[in-house]
Amino acid sequence: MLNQFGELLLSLTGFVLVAHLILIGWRFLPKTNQTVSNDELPVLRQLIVVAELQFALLVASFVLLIFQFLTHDFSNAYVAQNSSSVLPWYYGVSAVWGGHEGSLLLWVLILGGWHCALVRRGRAQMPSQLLSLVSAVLSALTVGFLSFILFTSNPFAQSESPTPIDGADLNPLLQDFGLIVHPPLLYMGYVGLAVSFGFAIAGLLLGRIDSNWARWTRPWTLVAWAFLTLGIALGSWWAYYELGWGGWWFWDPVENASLMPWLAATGLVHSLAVTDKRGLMKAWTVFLATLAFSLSLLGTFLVRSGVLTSVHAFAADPTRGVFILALLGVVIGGSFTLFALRAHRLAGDGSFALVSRESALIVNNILLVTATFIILLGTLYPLFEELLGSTQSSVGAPYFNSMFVPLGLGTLFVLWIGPYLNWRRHTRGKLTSWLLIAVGVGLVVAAGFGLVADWYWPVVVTVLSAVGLIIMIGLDAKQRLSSQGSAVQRSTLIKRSRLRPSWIGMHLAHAGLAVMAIGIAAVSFYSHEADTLLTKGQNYNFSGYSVRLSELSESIGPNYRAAIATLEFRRPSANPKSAAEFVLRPEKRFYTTRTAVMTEAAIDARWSGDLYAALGEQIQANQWSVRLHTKPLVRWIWLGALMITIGALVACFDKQLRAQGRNTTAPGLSV
Amino acid sequence: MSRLLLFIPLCLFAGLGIIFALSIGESPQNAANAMVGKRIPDFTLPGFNLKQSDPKSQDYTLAQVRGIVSVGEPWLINVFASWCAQCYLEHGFITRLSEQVMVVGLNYKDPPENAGKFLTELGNPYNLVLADLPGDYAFDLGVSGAPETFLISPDGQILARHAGVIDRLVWDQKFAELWRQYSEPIFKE
Amino acid sequence: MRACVGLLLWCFSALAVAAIDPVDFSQFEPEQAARLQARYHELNTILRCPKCQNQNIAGSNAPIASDMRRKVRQLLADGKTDTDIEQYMVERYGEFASYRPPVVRRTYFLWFGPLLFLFIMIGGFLTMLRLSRRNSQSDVQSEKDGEIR
Repeated sequence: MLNQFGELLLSLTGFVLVAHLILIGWRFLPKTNQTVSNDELPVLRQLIVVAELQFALLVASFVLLIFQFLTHDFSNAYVAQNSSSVLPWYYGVSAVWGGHEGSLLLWVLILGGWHCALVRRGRAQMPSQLLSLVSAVLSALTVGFLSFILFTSNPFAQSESPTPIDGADLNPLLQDFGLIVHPPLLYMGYVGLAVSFGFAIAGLLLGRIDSNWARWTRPWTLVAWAFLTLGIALGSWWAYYELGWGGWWFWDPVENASLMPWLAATGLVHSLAVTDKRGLMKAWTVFLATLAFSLSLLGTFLVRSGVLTSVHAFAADPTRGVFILALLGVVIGGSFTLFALRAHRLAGDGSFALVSRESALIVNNILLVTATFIILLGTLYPLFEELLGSTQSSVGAPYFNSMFVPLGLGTLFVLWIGPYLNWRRHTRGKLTSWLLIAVGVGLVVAAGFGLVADWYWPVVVTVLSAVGLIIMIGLDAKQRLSSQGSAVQRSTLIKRSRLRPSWIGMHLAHAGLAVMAIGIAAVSFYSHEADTLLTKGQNYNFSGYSVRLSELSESIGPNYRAAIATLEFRRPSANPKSAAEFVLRPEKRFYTTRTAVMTEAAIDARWSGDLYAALGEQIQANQWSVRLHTKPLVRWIWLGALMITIGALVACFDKQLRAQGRNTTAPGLSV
Repeated sequence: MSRLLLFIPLCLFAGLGIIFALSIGESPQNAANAMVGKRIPDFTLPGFNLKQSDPKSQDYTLAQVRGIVSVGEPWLINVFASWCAQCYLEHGFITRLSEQVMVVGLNYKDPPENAGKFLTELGNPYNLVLADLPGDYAFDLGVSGAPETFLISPDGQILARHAGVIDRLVWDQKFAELWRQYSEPIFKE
Repeated sequence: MRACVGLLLWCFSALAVAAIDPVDFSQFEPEQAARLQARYHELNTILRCPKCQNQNIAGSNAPIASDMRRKVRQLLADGKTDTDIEQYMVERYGEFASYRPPVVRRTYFLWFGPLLFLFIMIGGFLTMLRLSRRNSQSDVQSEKDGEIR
């Protein structure tokens, strides 16, 4: 009975949104070429009622599903497939999005949430026409996905009778903190890009884009992008500690599917700056917004259609694949058609020199779009080969790394210059001398580094580019802070200075990229690994540590049995700071319901690097095969990503990013 | 001219869409048949010729095996093991095949007693059973599991390979034509 | 691909079971042993498990992955180069077995396409710049719009 009620809630949401679409279409579409008169109150009322109603219905259906999981309602087929009576309750909640159907419901719920948030924030400021069109786009997307859910992927489908006594339990890999945080944050990002997409479509439908459009779009895009950054970083961290072989990025199709929209969204965030400040590149910005969300949808397709082989993929089902492809065709095909027909109206006015901030931002976009192309090409290449009937290659890390290393390093070097160029035309300033300082300091650090550790040229170049980047930021900060004159007090200095949130956010994000690059270089070149046999009581030398397997024990968990090894690590040293002593307890878990075996790695995590231990097989009663890794600076990778996320969010607070009120336009930056 | 450029994204997407549409439903192909077309590698493996009156284990080389099973005819190598569930499924068809075609069984990573039990229970369709306990020779054939079946030409070329259960459909699609082609007499008179 | 149900189950359940076979090159001097270890682990990330859903042989505990790792270890001890070892695996398991696609006619677009793409984008940018400079109003005031930061 609950199942039918859940389906009812979803269908109701669909009907509400369809009615909403019809009303908006009837009211606004014929008039998109004119500015509609300010008869706005009833429209705004409709918008807010619909937005809140659909979100409330979606929340209700989601809560219902959670309830079914927590009460072990196995009359729901989805619940039966993804949980069991012995599953701990916190995993029971996250199991809601552990499978295909539930994850789609999460998708739609988050879409409803963004829609509601947009209408609530936007109704005070945005013209009702624009807001209505964006709302229409979001509504249409929601209806599309609800149809997909109700027709092919129903999370409220009835179990086949007789009702199962117990469920199949959640995949042990997913019984982890990572499942609780990674998908929701990731989907917040994916789905948030729909808002930017909505703005782009609205702009195309209206046939015009002004600076206010850019200012409304920017914060929404930044927030979505921040979530996406965080979501991807969490996925990487989760895979690292969960999968047991110490890798943090595999270039798996599903991972690539998340990176592509991120790259496009990064380009969008930068392109919006040009459209905002100069009213240029409007068509390109609209294209990027469409592209970013299209890649997001494409990711959904790739992950669920079975077209690509991946460890992450949901169970493949051709019917679903066809439906999603149709959805893709309508959304992406429709938006690209609209773009082809209407984008010529979005011409900007103005030009800029070759050496200018605009150029730098375009170079940024070029690099990012090229990166997106590389991932698309590499991920889909086996598909092309298969269709052409030729031998299939496996395209993996060697290919992507060889492409991304030069691209990434190039990006870091561009960041030395880009943010410090003037708009329109760069006039000679202190830039050249700054660059010399940056190169100088960077080379000194890189050379010094080369003396201390083994020399690898990618590491040296990375250190040079990262250090130089930080130096440039420091020099810029120094200039801005000192330009106020020494008589002014410190606190007002900060307030009145040019260290605005948008400045801080931007440089924090760029610095985060540098930090990430250092982490990646360190882990890639200076890791040590050993697969070895450890006998209880014996010592083993690894990377400067003395390791001893001191104890083997067992434990019982809620739905598993575990074998635990206690490993004692000692690194004696005359210098008390570098001496280390700690204990790691890697486990091997045997899950009873799904008869699966899992390795739980034990990690000693420090900013200077991790020590990673994972159990292999039990060779004899007192002997296990064990893998030990050192992972220098690996945490810097996720720290860098966190810096990017925070930078994006900080930038949102800048008043300059906020649009003017409904009836004003910023002077000098009009259409 | 620049307005035409605006259609590029649409065209690219249309192309991609077609590719995706064609790819749905086709299960992605795993390991390719890398050894097909190459000469079958040499080996020396312990084996049983259970069709002999007094089957004793002895070492067989490739040349010896070809002498026994492949007199001008193509022959099959069937990789099997007692731990392999699907091998039980295809056993019936292998038995039927063995009435027309010479089949050599390659026992893969299986202790001989278990293999013996398997063959006693289900019957032995093989002209010869070779034992590859460590799996090293199978590795050279590009075998990654059981069951797998190879068709070898009279002069030692690997003609075809199938990974998985072999049945009438698979035989017709992958092996039948080649088998007929290579077992035809050289002189058509 | 569907060789054996048992094998598949193994594979699936082995997703988070790190593939750990004790490996040591103790017959070599420590420095060379360390280098061989490093190459061993590197190769394990490049070679692909023929029976798994997109895993390298480092991360898979499938029997075939285990066999391949053992072979890699043996070939390394025999003094083979990394290229030799990749070639060895590709001979038996096809191009599929290596995550590094070869540079042959079939993959020219894969390896050189990105560079081509980059050039097209840069060319487009420079062209657009030149066109817009010709068409737009000239910028007489070259003052600091850089104040807008």
